Amino acid sequence: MACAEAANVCAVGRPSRGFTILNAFPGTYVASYRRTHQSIKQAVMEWSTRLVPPPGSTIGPTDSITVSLTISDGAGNSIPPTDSRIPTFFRGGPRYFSQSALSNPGTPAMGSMGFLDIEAAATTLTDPSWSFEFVVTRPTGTVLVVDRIAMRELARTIVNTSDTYGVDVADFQPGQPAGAGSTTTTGTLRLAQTIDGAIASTPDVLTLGWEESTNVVVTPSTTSAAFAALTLLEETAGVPMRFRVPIRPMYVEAPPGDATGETGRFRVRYLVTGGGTATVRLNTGSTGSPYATAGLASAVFAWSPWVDCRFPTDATGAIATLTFEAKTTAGTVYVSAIHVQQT
Amino acid sequence: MADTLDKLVPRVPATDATTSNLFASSRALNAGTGHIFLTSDLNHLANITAVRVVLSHQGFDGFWAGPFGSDAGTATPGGYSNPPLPSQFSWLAPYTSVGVATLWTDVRVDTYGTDALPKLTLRCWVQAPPSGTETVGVVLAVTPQRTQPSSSDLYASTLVTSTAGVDVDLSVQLRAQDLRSWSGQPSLGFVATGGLVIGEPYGENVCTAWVAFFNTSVKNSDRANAFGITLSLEAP
Repeated sequence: MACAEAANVCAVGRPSRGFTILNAFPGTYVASYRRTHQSIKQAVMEWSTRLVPPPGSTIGPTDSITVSLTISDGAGNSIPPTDSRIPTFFRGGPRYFSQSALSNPGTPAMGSMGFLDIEAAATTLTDPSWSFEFVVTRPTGTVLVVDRIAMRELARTIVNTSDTYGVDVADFQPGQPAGAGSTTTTGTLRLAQTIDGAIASTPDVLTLGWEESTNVVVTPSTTSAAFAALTLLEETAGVPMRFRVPIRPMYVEAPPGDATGETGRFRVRYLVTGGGTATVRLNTGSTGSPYATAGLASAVFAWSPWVDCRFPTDATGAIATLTFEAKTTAGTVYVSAIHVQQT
Repeated sequence: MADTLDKLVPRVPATDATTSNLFASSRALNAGTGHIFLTSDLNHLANITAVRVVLSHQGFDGFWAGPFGSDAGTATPGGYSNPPLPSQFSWLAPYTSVGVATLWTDVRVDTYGTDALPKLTLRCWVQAPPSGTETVGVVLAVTPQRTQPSSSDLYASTLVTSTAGVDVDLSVQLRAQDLRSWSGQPSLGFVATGGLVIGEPYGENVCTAWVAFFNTSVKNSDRANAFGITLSLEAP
């Protein structure tokens, strides 16, 4: 019975996917999402601002922000902001704020906190790769910013045995008959199926986003014909920015870990000007690294295909260091979002 | 946690119909082995599912706000301790006009194993201003509510003076008092009038994590950088 409870917790009680966009000044921001598995049903979505302005500025009584969300998938299906599945205040309507008289400028003011029915959205978004497009505007005033937009899957507290994963713990109480059962009903097979769901509950490793723009001041870019660090993704000139992330050791004990490492995938949101064809590559430090997504030729912002990769787990704490480089045959390649996850 | 190989045991999926499926009917001779693998896998999963990246961000390119909010826009940075306290940072939103560098996020926290809590770790790369005479403060703080952190909250901090840039790792061991219980039954999506779509009840333990930087130069002509920010839950 304890095993059944543990399997449920790990399979549906600890989803690890979602994204956060920080410091969204007026503009368009796009994030990538791929559902953990079919037994994860809900997500919480929220955005916030701050009500203490910088010195010399004032938040007026009619200052407002709008956040408009469109969710689409890789097959071209979409859910517009006016759809009933889009939570309140992600539908483009103005949200008014007044300046705070308090002395704690860090405390956020919530613009919206709502819940997304992932299951209902999936009836329209039939491809598993989703894209969340947020359009942020400031209809009135000049000070307010969206300091955080967040989406994350919600842990489940109940189990439904008609779902893909989830076992009825009552089946394993003392005195109940033991048997294999089936993967869709009860028994050890259903338990094993639920553990498979826990194994499939891999996390996002990196989610990065910038304003979707061809302004090199706000969106990473390069014009280099050879692989080079993108502007705004450099530590120092020409040196790619490093992201150090823990990797879950799945099939190799860490320590000592493994230099080839655990499986993953990544994709980027990009645009290429001047008729060029670009390549963006991810360095993970794995023996198979780097991993490249090539043939990127879209003249409008679009997602690249997913590219399989691996993350080494042989460093202390199974920390992998991720960097990005890009090149283009002509024009400029801009990268406005990056999504990396374990698989 | 005991009773685990600290890795998953490769096996065929539960839906596999071959004789390799240890959990299928009539596999009595494999029952013991199968349950050993099951126990080991579950214990391992109970550990690793508590570990994950909770926030990643490209960082702050060229911040100059000094210690204490009141120093943004002034020429005299206030006193600060070594290591600095959360109250000694400016917690303004990162308005570009004042060169502030702060962020926050909510974090769902799961137990590591049966009852331990993970630690929260900040990793980034920090570079002090090029003048070579200034200091950058870095803080990671945790609050049970979404309120600006104070010096009585859980935190870790450090000072950086390297103009070449250094990796900064700050960790705090989460405790029960750093978390709040967040539960309810959601209304899904949006309904203008009537007909609410009621979702499944949820229940989580969460905390709010805060990160901030200061630059004692207090001048936008002598800026500091903090890049490659990741916040992660890791083994205690």
